Amino acid sequence: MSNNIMEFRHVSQQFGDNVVLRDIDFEIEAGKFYTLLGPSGSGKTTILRLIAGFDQPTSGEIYFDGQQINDVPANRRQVNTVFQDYALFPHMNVAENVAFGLQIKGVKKSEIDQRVKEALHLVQLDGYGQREITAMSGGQRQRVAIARAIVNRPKLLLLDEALSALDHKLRVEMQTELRQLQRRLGITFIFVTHDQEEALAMSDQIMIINDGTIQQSGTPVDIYDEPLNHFVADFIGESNIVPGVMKADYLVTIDGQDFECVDAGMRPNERVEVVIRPEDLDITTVDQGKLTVTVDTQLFRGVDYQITAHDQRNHEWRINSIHKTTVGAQVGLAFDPEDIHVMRYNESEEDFDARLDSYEEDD
Amino acid sequence: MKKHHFTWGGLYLALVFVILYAPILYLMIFSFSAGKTMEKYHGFSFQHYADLFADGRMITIVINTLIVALLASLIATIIGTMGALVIKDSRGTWRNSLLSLNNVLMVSPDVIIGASFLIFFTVLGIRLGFMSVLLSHIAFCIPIVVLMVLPKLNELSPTLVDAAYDLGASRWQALSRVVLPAIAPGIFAGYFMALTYSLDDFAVTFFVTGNGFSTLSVEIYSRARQGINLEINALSTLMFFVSLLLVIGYYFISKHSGRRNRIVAVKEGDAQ
Repeated sequence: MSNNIMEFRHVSQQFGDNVVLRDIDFEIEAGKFYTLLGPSGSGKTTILRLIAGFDQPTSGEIYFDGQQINDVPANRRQVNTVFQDYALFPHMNVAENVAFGLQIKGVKKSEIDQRVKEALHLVQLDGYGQREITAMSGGQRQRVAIARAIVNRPKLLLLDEALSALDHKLRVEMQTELRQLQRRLGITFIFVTHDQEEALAMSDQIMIINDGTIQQSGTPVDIYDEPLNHFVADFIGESNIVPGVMKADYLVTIDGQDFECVDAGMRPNERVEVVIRPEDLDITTVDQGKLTVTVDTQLFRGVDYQITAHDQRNHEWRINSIHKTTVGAQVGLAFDPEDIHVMRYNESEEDFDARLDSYEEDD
Repeated sequence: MKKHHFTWGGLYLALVFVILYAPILYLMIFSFSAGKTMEKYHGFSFQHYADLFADGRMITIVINTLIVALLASLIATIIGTMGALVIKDSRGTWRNSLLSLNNVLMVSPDVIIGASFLIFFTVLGIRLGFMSVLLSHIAFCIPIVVLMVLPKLNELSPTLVDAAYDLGASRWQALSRVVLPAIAPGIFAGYFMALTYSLDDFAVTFFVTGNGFSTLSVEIYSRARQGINLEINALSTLMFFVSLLLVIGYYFISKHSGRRNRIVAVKEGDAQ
């Protein structure tokens, strides 16, 4: 418990009549890479601004290193931020930008020079100190912004959509670099993004935010394999979501057809939603398949074919397959019991975790 | 070398400049005339320049004018910049009303402003002279400064100030080290605009100068009523060159600082 660097307790935020955050509770463990993931307007940037101290919460408490910091202003928090638009000071060159925080704190000139050099080295900008900001490319500015933040040796580094202004190739490169940098420095990173691929690739822990509440938090694998509700399943990765009925433990009915599954702990005959990831569906012959579908479209994407098909009851299915099929053909769909994930309606995260624990212990 | 071809557009432009500058050129040529009037050129002489520098009253007035202009534009720049900062931070109708009040002063005729200042000072019992001229000049320069500074402030990314706080800066440090340097080109432009407005103001000054104090434009006006003295030509010529130097100086300052102070926008690859 003492390892928690940051904690939100029942934090709500309201701007006028507009409720932005509702009763947010979470803990941030020191030294990990966290991602706040959510669509725009979900409240994730508001959480970041509360952590940085730019805004004060309407109610609830924020703890940093065990201390309540609701009223501590931004300039006295050991937190630094990398802004979405980088917010580099246009009238200063690269080295002056990076040195700004240290100068404000009154660090000795010789030490400033040394630490600026180190920070620029960490972001691979050796020798760029005297360049003007206008002479730097987007990716380089991004690195300057990171250097300006880490040179202060914060305990917590916030990154607000820090990669969204970069093109795809550079973004993927920076993802790897950021991850490496975080491991090397051991600083806790909180990264805000709306890009689920980015979140899955970089994080130790993901918190999915929607409509001012945390929908689900967990490791990328947990969230991908066991989404809590429709929103999470839809937001993270591609998915087929169909309604079903839980007949008994480990048995779910989709459109009157029974399937074996690995979920349990629900009321008999409870209405549920069933998630099957497109890459878990295999195309086979009609008699070998568990479901029979007609192929509607097929799109070659390089790594695989994206196929859409419909079954007899007109449910649409998305299948990602490395094997080609024929549009208009009737094919069978095969999948394993583990590929089925069952979600209850309106289940809270605590109930979900408790239910998972209850039957996973039995195994 | 690219050859310049004759175009009707070019000719038109040349004509416009000739018409604009011909009167000034005419005035300058006669400042070097040996004669007493502008009816006929009497041969080259520096006589009027010598007269000018011997004219103690005129020199005093030139110095007065400069003092008023420099002081008024400096004070107006400080007040106007602070005003722009307040307007920038205010919201909704309050912000709009402040901006409108500012703009009304810009468009209302100088004569009205001058007359209202005269009434104002008389009611308050302020003696007309240096102070009344200075105060009114400061007053009509402030809106100019606000209008020059505000666009620069609006260009600034709002996260810039957040970034300064984030790096440990106090409110004052964020203002003095980040905001003011970033809007410095706007402040300089405002100062120079205020300076020129104050230097050549006639209407407002005419109302509020009292006995014993006068500025150049008012003095030239009163002398011109008794027939133009070529000493005025000499003075105008000098002033023309001084303002030319100012404009050239301002051009180089803005060109130099403009390169450095251009607002950094996030645009992928604009330096690649």
